[in-house]
Amino acid sequence: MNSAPSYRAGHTICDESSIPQGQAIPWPGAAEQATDTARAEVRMVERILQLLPSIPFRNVERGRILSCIQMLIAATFLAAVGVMSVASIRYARSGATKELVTRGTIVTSIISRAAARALEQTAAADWRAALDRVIYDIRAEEGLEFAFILDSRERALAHSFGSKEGTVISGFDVVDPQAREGWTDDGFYYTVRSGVTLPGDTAKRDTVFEFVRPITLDAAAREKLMGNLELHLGFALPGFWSFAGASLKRLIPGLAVAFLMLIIGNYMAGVLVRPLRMLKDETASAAKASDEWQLEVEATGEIADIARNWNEMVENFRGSYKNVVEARRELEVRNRVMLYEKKRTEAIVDGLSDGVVVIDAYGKISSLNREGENLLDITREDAASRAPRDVIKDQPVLDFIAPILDSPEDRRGKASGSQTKKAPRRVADLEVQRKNGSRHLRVTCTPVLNANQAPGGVITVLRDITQERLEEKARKDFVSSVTHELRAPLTAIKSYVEMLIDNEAKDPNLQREFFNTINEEADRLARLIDDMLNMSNIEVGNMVLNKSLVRTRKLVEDAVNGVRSAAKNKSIELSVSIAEDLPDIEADKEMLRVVVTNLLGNGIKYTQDGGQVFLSAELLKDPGSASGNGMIAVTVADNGPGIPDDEQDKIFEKFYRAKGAREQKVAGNGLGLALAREIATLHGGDIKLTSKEGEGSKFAFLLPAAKTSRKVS
Amino acid sequence: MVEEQEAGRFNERAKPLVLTVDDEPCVGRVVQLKLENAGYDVVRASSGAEGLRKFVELRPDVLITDVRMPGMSGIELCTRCEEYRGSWPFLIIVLTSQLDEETRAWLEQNPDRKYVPKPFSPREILRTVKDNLNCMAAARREGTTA
Repeated sequence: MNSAPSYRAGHTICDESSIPQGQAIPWPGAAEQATDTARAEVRMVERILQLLPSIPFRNVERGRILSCIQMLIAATFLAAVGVMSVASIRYARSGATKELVTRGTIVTSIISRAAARALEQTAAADWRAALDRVIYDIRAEEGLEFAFILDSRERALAHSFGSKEGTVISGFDVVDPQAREGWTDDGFYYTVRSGVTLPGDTAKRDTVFEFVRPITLDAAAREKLMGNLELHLGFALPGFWSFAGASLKRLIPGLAVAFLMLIIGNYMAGVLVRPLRMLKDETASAAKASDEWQLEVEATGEIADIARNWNEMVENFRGSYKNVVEARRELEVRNRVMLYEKKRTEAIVDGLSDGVVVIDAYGKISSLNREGENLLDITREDAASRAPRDVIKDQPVLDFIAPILDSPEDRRGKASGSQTKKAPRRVADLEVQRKNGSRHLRVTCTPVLNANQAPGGVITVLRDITQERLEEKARKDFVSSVTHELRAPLTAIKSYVEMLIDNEAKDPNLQREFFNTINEEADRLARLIDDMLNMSNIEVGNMVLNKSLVRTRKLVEDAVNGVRSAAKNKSIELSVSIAEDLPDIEADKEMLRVVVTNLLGNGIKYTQDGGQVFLSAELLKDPGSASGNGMIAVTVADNGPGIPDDEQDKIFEKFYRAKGAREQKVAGNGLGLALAREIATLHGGDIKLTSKEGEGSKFAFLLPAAKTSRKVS
Repeated sequence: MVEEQEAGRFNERAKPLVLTVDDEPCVGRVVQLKLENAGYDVVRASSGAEGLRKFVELRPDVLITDVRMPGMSGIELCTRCEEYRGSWPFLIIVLTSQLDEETRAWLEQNPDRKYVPKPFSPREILRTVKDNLNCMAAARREGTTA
């Protein structure tokens, strides 16, 4: 029935290109296909919905997504409705086709029989009118597009196109009889025409079912008409859009409801999302705000709860935040205090006169103060985080601290034991070599524990005891010197007295000499004791000057006379030059005598036999004195061995004895110059030294002259 | 007093010769007087260098020296004199106020080194000289008779 028709050549009734080849009638299977498409789309949506929860959307985005999903569902629904509609339209159209075929078949049969009867009963002259009537009667049949009756020569005897008899229906082809396969026995068949344009009409018909049935006549009529006639009836099947329109009318309420639901849903989504959006905006503003974190959200229900909870949380947070801010402030203050304390401690440690080297539990130097740098001759930068043996160059120091560092028990305490015990402190005096000579260091190693009573390394304290050693040596030398100096006169006195007792000196002159010697030695002993007492008094600040107006010339002359015998013993040429009109001095006469005698005595003592010692006393006009009367300079120069530059300051130190003096083993107690300078200072004067090694020395004793001179007893 | 010291046994001299070295003139003077009164010949020197020179020149029987002297010290002088120990017999007496360990050890090395502490008594000097010279003479006698 649905076989494709073929078209007879030569009957070009319509444009071939406009006829779709192999036009197929949509059948119910198409609806199933459409349903499958809709199902696929639904599956896709379901899949999207399954994926959605795995995406961490925020509420607002979820609202939007929900809205989108809703719209997507609505769209899918609409698409499904559309697809279903198309399917139902096609289905309806196929039903209509069946109905049309049935009706066409019946109508064609009836009309053909009616036409046959009319022709048989009508006279030959009226058969055309009879045929016209048949056509005319059938015109009102529903859906009839055309009707015509062809004779055996395919001339239209009657038709609904309005043409005259015998007129070939131009522009309208006739189905080729040869191609009339599938005809019924009575010669009925039908064919389907698409896109046909009827003669005398311009509109194209979508689909026209053309029913053909022979009009079977009796013999007489057949003769008259020269064969049987053919009735062609064309019924139009309404087009797709006619059905669609009808379907649409039925669908409109449903669609309207769907659309309304969509709008309502969207509105509802909006209503739901609006507070969410407000919440979002508010929280965004709060997030950027420095203080205003409260939310103002016009909402009810959960959103309002959220906003309220948020605001409560903000209140709580504000309290906590306040605490945090306060805690932070306190922490900052503490931090500053700690920093200050740290710097202060560092400054204190740095300012210590002792060197401090801190070695941590891992045997690395963790701290070194300035004096430590100085004493060990290393720098902090070099020493930082390095093992002592890599930095410290002094082997004695390393040898001393190495056992402590190498022994875990010492460095880390008794770690293996059940209780931590600090190793004992160790002290040693070590000698290290430096460019300018050897230095003596007292090194104290103290293992320390940290706050957890765990081993915390070793603190090494270094003290430069070089000076102390020198002083100690000087003190020992001094004691030795003093002992010798004290015993020498004592020996003389004792032995001379014993000689007198034993009557060994019988000659009265010899006896007198003995008594004189005893007397001199006793004086010498007394002077020595005086020197020591004076020095001691000056040291403790108890020196009281017994000042009087002293005649300088007399003072100097007495001192010179006191040493003449010593100079003579060494064959030293002692020359004296005392300026005329030398002013007097307001001073402690005995003290001054000590100074001048010391200077002269030194000159004689340290100058080689046969040398020269020269004393001059003069008034210096230029350098002003405190009294404004000028300074008196008593200068003692010699051509002795001289004093090296590096010792010129030291010889004025207490107990210090110049290298030359020590090597020559010249007797002396190391007090003379120290005492002389102290006395000079006490009198507002000074002692200046100019000396060159190998050429001699010159000591100038400067004293302020007294304002007035007067006779002194 | 000297007769009993057997003249001629002391380095071919009638009297034993004592060399006293001291930088303090009065000490040397009193030692000289005491020993001369006791019958000894006494030569004085006021420094280590002078003492060494006179020691080598005069070959004395006794050397009495102070330890602490400017220039050459007493111990140094003694050490230099000890170099002549095999040439002639002599006695060394050191006078010092402080006897340190080093000096004590040095003294103990040889019985012919004696020590008199300062301040000394001239009697003690004389006794030390006399006793030790007698000991030395006795030892020598024993040596020759043996």
